Amino acid sequence: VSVVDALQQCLAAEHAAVYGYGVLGGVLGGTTDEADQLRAAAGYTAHRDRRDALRNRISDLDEEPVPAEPAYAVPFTIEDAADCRRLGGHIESRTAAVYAAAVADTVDEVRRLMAVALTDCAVRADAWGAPDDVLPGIDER
Amino acid sequence: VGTPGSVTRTTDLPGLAVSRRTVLAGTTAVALAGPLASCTLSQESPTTTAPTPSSTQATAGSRPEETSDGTPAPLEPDVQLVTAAIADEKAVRSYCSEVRRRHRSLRAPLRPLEERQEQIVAALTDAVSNLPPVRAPRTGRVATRPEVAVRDLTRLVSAAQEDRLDDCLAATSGLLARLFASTSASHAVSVEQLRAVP
Repeated sequence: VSVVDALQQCLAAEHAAVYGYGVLGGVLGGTTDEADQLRAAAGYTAHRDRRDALRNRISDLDEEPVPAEPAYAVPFTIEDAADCRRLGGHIESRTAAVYAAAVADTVDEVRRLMAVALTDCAVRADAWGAPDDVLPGIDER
Repeated sequence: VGTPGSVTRTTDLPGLAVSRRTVLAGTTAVALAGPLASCTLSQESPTTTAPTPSSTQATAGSRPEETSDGTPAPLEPDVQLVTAAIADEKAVRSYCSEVRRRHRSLRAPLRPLEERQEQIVAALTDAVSNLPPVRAPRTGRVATRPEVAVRDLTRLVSAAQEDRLDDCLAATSGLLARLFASTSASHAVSVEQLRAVP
């Protein structure tokens, strides 16, 4: 896997994460759980910023950044705050796995960026109450 | 799921459900050059080779385990990283265990961390086959006040997080880099959890 391919895979994952946070943010907006709302807003911002940074980095390499899909399939129905927390953990765990894979395919500064992104996803997954992954991005699920 | 009427195509939320055993226990063990000629990274698949894989292309037994003057030759760099990391992670586990032993109130809250450390040590040990036993360095004394002990433990885990990130950047093997990055991320989660310990 080339560095550009690894970055494109991360960008695709960030597109999906931004979409997913939009879904759970919409549901959480109708609840009174302020902590979850703040967590969702912070997660959305973090993924949006990382998406934009990846897009810029890929463009700087004279490559065309992969576009977002029109929509993404969410693996279960999102009806309440508990579903949102589960989805938040799912988004972060899956995105962590993409960054973990990218770590293996990159070196130096890009590898550091991938590793830091992996850590951020792992911490947010834990904050959402995702099942404990001893090795985020690698662990068995 | 999306806005009804606006969805023309859907894609699953991407990600890779990667098994740790898949990562660490493949069929093509690749020998590391160096004096521990029998030490091998447990897996390096052809499709995920390291970006700079020179050291993972060496052949087992390509170097003697001692130099000509009889002194031990240096370990291959990736094996050195793993060996040092195992010692480091064992030290964190030992200190955590000591804190739990000394402070009854922390036994339950710190049990997940100790278990996590045991699994991290196991994962790192699995990453290199035939690795000689690695001893943990002696740990410092545990503070008498529980909150200070937790603070000291948090510092230790936080330092391990930084060290594994450095190891990730230094690793020649891409898969080993991934393991180190994941371990660093795991420590970041532990630090957050330690902050919530009463």
